Amino acid sequence: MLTVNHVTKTYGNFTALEDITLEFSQGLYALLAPNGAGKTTLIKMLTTLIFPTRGEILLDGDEIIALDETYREKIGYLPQEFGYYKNHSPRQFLSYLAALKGLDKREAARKTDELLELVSLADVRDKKMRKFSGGMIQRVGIAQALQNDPRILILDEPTAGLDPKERVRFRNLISSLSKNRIVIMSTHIVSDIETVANQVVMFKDHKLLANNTPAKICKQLEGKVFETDDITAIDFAHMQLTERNEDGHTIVRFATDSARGAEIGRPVTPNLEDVFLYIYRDEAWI
Amino acid sequence: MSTLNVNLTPQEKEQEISAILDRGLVRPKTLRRLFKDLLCSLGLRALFWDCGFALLVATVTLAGIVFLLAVTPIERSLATTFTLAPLLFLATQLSCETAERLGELYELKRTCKYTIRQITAFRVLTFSLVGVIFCVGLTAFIAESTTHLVQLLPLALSGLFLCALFSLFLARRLPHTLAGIWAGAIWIVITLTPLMIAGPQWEILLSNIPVLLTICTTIVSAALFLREITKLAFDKEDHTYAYGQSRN
Repeated sequence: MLTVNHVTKTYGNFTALEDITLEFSQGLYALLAPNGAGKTTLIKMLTTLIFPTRGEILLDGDEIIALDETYREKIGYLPQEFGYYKNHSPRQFLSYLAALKGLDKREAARKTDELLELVSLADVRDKKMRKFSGGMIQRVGIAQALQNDPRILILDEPTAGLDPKERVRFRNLISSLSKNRIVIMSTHIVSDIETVANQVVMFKDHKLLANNTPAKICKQLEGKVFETDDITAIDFAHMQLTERNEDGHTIVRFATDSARGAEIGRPVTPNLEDVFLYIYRDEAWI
Repeated sequence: MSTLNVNLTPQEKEQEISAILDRGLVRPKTLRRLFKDLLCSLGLRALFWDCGFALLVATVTLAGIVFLLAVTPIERSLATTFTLAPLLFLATQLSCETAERLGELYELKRTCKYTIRQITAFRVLTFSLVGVIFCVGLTAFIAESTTHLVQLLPLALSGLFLCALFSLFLARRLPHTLAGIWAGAIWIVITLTPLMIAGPQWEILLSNIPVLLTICTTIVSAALFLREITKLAFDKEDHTYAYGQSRN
């Protein structure tokens, strides 16, 4: 089990994360928050790129800083900005990273072929990455993160820059990978995690706001989310969430604490996007 | 005699014993063992990956040094040797590090089993050995006699290791990613200023330093330099600003 124990990270007078306590066991954990909320700071601490100012991060009771390479051997990491060598083929690139990860050469070669197959890049394994699309590069990134068969897979905004088709494929892959390991994925794109995350971790004002299953998090807004095609009729405090067109009408989804919500609108089941907008767009109340 | 009130099944006992052995019998990692592991696992090619730019800079530096030697009056050989001795090391090391830190893979490389910090430690040691070979060549080229060589070589080596130590010391402590470059600039200023201002007097001062003292300086600075490399390779928390990890 990976435990984040009362962790605070400060940079001078600025507190990036304050008193965060979390526990990660097998499954997919989504760190969901807007940009600048501290997701990447936590990810960087989990990958030992930076250290907590206060508190500790433990793997099975041992501090990860003390575990040093023993810990690093157990993690797979896909950074937010995944760099690569444009003139290398995926196979060459993965061989180099396998060496840095201390993998046996023969085993690494076998694993590289297997992983390129898994991420559907087997056909282009010997082609230079110069002409690869963002999605293909991201898949190379996933492959490198899986090279050491990590117990903990850490992905920082992995779907940024992917087209919808690639995003779905990526989601399915991550979902299957989370069956036998800890997968920690940071994102601000709700649809990436809504259906696959076992647990959603949310931050607000650099503090932990929620750590629960998507269903339980959505339950917070139960009875407060409605849809209407006449938003002008609402004369009580509400927050507009999303809009969509249906049969020539604009259907507006809104949240309100008022009991009159049901008089104007039709109650709907809240989803994670509603919760996200509700929590992070306080200023939108009118 | 007291007995412990612990009831363990044979299987649990085995597990406990294994856990104790795992913790107790781990050989402490030395710099030598680490570098041996690095060489065996990564090989020279992976260890010096991304060093092409450094090689180019080293070649240009060598050409510059040859030019300087061609135009420098031979009567200032000691001052020239002392200043030039660490230049190849500095140029190679700093260009290699700069290229690495500015590279897009830097962050990822810091999370691998063999971190870029450990690889950097290996490279620094290698570049310093190349620096030693350079010093031998440089002094052999400049020396007019064996006595002159005996005076020049320890001075050049002390210059190399003092500068290398200073460079690594700064790089590990200053909260600036390119702190090592400052070390190079400071070295050039420190050694060139007396040469420019005092001229022959600086040469006389250097010639009056006993050879034994320069040998001792070389040994001590080389030992301290090795200690800095060890810290670079193994330090987990403090003094690692330039190599990516910090508490603040």
